[in-house]
Amino acid sequence: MGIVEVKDERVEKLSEMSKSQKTVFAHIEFVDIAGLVKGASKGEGLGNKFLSHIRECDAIVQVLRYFKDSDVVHVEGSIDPMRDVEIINTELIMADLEQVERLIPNLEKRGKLAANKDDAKLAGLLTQIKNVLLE
Amino acid sequence: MSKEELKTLKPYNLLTMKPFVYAINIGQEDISLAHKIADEFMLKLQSPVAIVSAKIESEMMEMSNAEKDEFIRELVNMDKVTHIPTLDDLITLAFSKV
Repeated sequence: MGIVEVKDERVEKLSEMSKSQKTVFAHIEFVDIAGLVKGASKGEGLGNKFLSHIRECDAIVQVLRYFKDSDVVHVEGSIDPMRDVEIINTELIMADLEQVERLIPNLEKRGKLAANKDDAKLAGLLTQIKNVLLE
Repeated sequence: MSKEELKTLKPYNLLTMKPFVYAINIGQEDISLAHKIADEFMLKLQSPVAIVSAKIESEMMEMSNAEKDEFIRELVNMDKVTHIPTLDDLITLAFSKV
């Protein structure tokens, strides 16, 4: 995990203009997680359990390998960033699918009671998402 | 999906609903092509793309800003390159997405 400053020139200008004693940049926290491999959702490699570490984040940065260096091994044995994107995105879809499928039955059950109308609605919404993920 | 629906889904933290940013990790030899590579992947991925070189960044980690400048200047032909991609680009890009 690393916390960095967002070096925004505008902040520096504002600070100058207002003669601030202290210039505070916005901060952003990056969390690095272990690399996903093909089949992680089925337990390959380290599995996909560590995806829970990034569930709370606001955005996802995917680092794609473009450089060629035979000293640094690539799990798939060749350099192909677009293939890697496909693999990672598939794994992310599988992880979401797992979560949605776990949530739906309970929500449906609870939604059957009149008092829990929202749960029924949510179950419907998650089912829609599930169908999109399955495509 | 409506704003209302998105709000109900927020606590479930679905990964595929988050904004995505791609960082292309290039080698030293590709620095002069950084722009071309960024454009190529922006088109292919239909997403924001930042170019970084983890190797160069790791070599520059202990350097002062002046040393970094010199190091980069020695690395690439500045006549051909108008902008050197750095981690700051990624940071700014990522921040713009949150």
